[in-house]
Amino acid sequence: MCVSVDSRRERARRDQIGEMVRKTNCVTGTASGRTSVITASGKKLGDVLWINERLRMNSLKKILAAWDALPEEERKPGLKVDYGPPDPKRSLHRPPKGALILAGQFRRLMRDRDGSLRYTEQSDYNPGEGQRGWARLREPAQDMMWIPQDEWQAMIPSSPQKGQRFSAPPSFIARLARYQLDPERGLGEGCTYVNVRPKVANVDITLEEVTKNEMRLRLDGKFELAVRSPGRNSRVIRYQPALLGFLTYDRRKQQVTGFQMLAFGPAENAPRGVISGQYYLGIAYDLVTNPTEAQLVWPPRRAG
Amino acid sequence: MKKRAFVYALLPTALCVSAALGQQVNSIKPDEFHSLRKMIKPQPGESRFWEIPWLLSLDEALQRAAAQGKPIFVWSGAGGPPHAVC
Repeated sequence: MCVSVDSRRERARRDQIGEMVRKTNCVTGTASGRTSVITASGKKLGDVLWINERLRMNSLKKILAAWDALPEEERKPGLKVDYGPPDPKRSLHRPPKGALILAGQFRRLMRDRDGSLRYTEQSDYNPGEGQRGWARLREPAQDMMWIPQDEWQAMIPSSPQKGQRFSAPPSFIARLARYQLDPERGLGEGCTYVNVRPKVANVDITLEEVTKNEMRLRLDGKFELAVRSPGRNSRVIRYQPALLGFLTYDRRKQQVTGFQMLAFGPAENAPRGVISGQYYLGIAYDLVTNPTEAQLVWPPRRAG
Repeated sequence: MKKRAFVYALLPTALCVSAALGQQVNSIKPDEFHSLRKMIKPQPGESRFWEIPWLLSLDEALQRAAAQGKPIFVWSGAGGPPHAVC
């Protein structure tokens, strides 16, 4: 049984589960994250350590031994646990009714001298976090995007005519600029562009095809985003992507049945200093029609 | 050896999206759309933690663990559920 939680919410809740969390210290109190194993009755079996493989395996063995040492009635299926009513002020964020859910993948890339794109290598990353985590940083990072119903409906023309062109809703463009094109994804909880004043931020929508049953829309966009990072080694964190997307709308069901977006362009000085200078950032978003529980995770700092 | 095979496997994808894209990217051509997306998305063996059926609710995890007789692995982060942040 695996659960991924926001420690600020769990620590702040005023109910019996919150008390258990604070008593066992089973969620982190810091930004560095924690992995712990607990029982359904609220006992902590131990922390899983990630410093190296030996410590990780040792910590897991201790946790397993602690589990085996529990009375059988605590381990057998069908245990009754009652933590009382949850704190109503600390409910989980859920997607607003009618919102579109998109899953995003963020990948840093490099160009070789011949201009070809390639995946990042260890030598592309700076000392410190970049060198320690280069294998993870090479992989795509994930993020979710929620598009409220009134926002996506504003992209669907009410009197559709093939070839008509119009600008995407300002709230959608701002959502992209401030949150969903954030190169910080996969590096931590920060929001690099939350207060960005873009030099360029536009998305035009073209109705490419329209039939009695369906509309197919194309999104073309361009962004130039830059902020200066705080601190002693202040640098400009820049991302200048082009954007292309395709949205399919079922006119009978009045539903979006397909939505894919791609942002791609040069970026400069990765947040947290893991890369200095230029790299490329590609971001791919896809509509999720039947989300798993894990895909219902709220986009950080922009659940509303 | 494994690493070299992995790089070679990626070459055709990398090359086909290469020449057409200059330093500045003013637009993405439709024929680049799929090759770029393929390159960005997880490759075999990547993002494996997304294969885990994570729950988001500790409340639900406690109830399910009790019903199934299992311990609970809790991954916590201070900026949101960490499977989507880090």
